[in-house]
Amino acid sequence: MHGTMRTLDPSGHSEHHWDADVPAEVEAARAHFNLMTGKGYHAFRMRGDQKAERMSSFDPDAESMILMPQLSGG
Amino acid sequence: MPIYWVSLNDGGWWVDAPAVLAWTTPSTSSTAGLNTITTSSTTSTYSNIIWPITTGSTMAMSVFDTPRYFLGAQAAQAQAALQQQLYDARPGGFVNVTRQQLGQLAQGQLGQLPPQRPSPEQLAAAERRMREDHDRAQQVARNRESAARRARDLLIEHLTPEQRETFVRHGWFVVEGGQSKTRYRIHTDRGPAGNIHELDITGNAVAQLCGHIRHMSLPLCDEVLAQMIMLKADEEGYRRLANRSRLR
Repeated sequence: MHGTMRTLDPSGHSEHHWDADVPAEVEAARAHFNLMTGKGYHAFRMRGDQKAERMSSFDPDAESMILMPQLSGG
Repeated sequence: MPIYWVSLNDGGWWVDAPAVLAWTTPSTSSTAGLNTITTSSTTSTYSNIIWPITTGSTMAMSVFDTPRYFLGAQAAQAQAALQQQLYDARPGGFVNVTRQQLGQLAQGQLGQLPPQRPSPEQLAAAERRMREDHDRAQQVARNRESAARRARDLLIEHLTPEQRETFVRHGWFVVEGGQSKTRYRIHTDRGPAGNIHELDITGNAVAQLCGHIRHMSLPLCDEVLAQMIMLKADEEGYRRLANRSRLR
């Protein structure tokens, strides 16, 4: 199973991919997840049925994630 | 160090770079009166001259302090003649001007310098800088276009067919709140502030919501995607952070 994590940034977004069966890739993706959420980014699992759910920890079985900076009132 | 009447305002070239550099700090040496040379800030209206201070002046005001505004050229020349005498009285006192130069000033022979032609090396360097600036600007524009395209593709990837259609045709799409099932119309044809309308059951806008990413400049479609995800996954959280204005 392959996963993709997209982080919204000024370039449009950056992508991290991992194979759930390759520990090194999973750990690299987890490290990025922890780094960004540690900076206050929100993490969401994107599901095929157009639904999204918030994530508080990295799940190597999530196929698609989006990390984004915090929003605030304008 | 020569004394020249140099004009930045008129686009003239200076030949005395150290003196010009010194202009950035207005001199406070005027009270010395007889034998000081002062310079002036390049931002000042009166800043286009390097000058000897007027005898006895207690202000940072020069004999050549924009004669066209103050003294007139003749008065400036007269003052230069006076300065020349003072120079004789205190040889070496004027650190930035020679007696001969004062004499030339007194006779009106040192006026504004003609523009100095840049050397081929200077021209080549200027051309190189312009080319680099141009390339850099083009690269920035390319990066911005690329980012906008990537963000748009990512947004479209997460839209339903119906949302895609209105997004492409009208620049907005409707998303259903994940908790309340309230419908929101997200506009993409304006900035990310105040671009969300809360709809009633008949589809009329009843309120405007303003909540977006701050402290980072993202392509608009990334902003919109973030808003949509928040409304679907954490509607209450989004409504708590967003400013809400009733429309009707």
